[in-house]
Amino acid sequence: MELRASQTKTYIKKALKDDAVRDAVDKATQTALAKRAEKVAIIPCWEDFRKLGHAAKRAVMESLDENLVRFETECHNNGMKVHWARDAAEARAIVLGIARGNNVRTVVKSKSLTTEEIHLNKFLIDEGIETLETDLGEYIVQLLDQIPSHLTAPALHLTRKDIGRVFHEKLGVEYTEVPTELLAIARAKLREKFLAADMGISGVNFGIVDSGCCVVLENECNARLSIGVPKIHVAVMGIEKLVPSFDLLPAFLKLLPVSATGQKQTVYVNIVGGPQRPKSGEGPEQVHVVLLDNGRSKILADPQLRETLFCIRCGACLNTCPIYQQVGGHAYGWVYMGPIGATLIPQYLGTHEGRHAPFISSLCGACRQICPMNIDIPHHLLKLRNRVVEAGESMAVERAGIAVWAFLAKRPLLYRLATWFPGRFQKLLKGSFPVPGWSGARALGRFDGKGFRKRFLELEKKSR
Amino acid sequence: MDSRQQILDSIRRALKTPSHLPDEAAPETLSRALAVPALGIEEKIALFRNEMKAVAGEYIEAASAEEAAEKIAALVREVPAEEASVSAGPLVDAVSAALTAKGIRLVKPESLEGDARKNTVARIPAGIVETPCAVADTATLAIPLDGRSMQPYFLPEVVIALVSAKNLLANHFELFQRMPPEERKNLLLITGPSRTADIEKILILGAHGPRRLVACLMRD
Repeated sequence: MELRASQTKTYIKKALKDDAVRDAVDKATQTALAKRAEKVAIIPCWEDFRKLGHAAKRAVMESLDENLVRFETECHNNGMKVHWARDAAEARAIVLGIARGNNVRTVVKSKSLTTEEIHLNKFLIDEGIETLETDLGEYIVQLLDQIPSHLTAPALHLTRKDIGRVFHEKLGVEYTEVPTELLAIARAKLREKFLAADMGISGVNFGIVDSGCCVVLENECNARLSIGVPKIHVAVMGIEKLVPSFDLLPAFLKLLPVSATGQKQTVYVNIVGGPQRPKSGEGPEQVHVVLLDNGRSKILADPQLRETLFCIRCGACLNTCPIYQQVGGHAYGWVYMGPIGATLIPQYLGTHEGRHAPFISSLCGACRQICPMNIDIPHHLLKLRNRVVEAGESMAVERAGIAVWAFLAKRPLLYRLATWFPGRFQKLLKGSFPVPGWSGARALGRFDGKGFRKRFLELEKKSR
Repeated sequence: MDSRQQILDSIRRALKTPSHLPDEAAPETLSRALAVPALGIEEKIALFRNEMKAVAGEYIEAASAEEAAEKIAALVREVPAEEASVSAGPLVDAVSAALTAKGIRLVKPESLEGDARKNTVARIPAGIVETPCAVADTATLAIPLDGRSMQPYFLPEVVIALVSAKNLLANHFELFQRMPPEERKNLLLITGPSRTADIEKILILGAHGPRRLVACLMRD
């Protein structure tokens, strides 16, 4: 299923009419928020961890060039091969080259948004390499030919009935909607794939600069099986995923799981610092790290928006966002969704394709409040709205409205007349002032009472 | 110019504009405030036990190798199984003889190679492993990939992990401070049995890895 960020209005309308999706998203986000709140309440110094996370990420980003070179050197010293990819096409070609060079026929993949970003699965499958997602949620959305609808819970928009149907249709098993039975089906199908796969592909949650290690967090053990069983491991990592050192890693190991799933610690933390087969006779004999730019260095150029690169993809801002709660992830039209996605879409895809994204927000500030990295998402959304307008990409009706307002605001007499007229007109109406597409579902405040000007003049008189 | 150079040049151009973010303390200063708490051994054991239960793991204690073997043999039979794959290490070695005497057949993965190894370990539903150290704050088992076979840690359905009480650490800061740099570079941290909540946020244990994880704390 190919989604386009520019088509987001169509997706939003569709999502708002789909009660099943809205119910599923609402239930899942409320559960996630409650679990997170429970953990934050019992973790001492949570705010200090947030501050540390932000400061550590900033320290890395302010000298990203040096840190990447150091990371590369340390990876080499650990026996890993580092590749650099400017864009998605180059990253895909690198992965394919590794696969072809080793006669790879089957690939098992653990959940990675970075590989979603570069459309790696479809590419490898088109090249004749069987490529299977192994995280349960990802496996389900792959069977449905969809993309994930949440950063950490890919199948959040689906019900057990939806999953039962897709397993029945695509895997040829008897229909069931019992969650444990559905898991058992997926486990059995995928276990044989894990044991037979030629190559494992993972993303990277954190790359440790001073040690040349990749850190992968997960709960299902599918990443462990993808990393620790096949002979080749390829880790695809955005260049912004670095953290300075092992000394600071504990902060990130706390911030991410608490915010993502309400866990103090994910079940598995895989720290990969080199091939294992020569030492132990199992696991990878080759470890490749693909460093992906794909627009990240351009984002870094903005002295404020570079903060959006601090994101650790926990998904907490999605869960708390009143807009995401209503429309779910597919409505945003890209692999990164929710408030942080709304900042990333125009930055990665440009202000034309991503012109709607910064406006999919109520700017209520809940995203900033919950963000474990203290990213000022509302501020960045406003800045990006400004960028969209300056690029001439705002809607014609909006531009016309602002032009009319600007014309009137410079002419006080006309302004007074223009604001007097609707007030009088509203007096004739019993209900709300009719605004097509707006007043049907909302009560617009009445403005036929005392206006601002009148009240201000009265106040001014009183204060004399 | 190669891609590496182009990316680095692009970053260098970007960083010519200094950050407009407000000033903040250095991360090293902030991390000092989150120091390792001074916990006694009993406090660490109590914390580890509670956290293990909180993550849906199980906890047993043993005062001797004989007692541990007895409890472990009962757990293996409960699976049900008559055999178990085992990891290398002194704690497992200490209980091996007693387990064999109780009729549990132990399979050392190192005695097998390639496909035979992974297929055998995957077939046997129980694994008995040891963990060189563990973190009390989160009930996390820390296993360096130091040449031992890791498969008994994640392929069986039920994993029984031996932990020595004297190797309990307070939190992750202490773990990474204490662990030799070469050991922590390849490391597996395990906190509870594998799980998923991908179906309507319902928690189910035993996703692709073990569905039961039992920590056996050795007091000696």
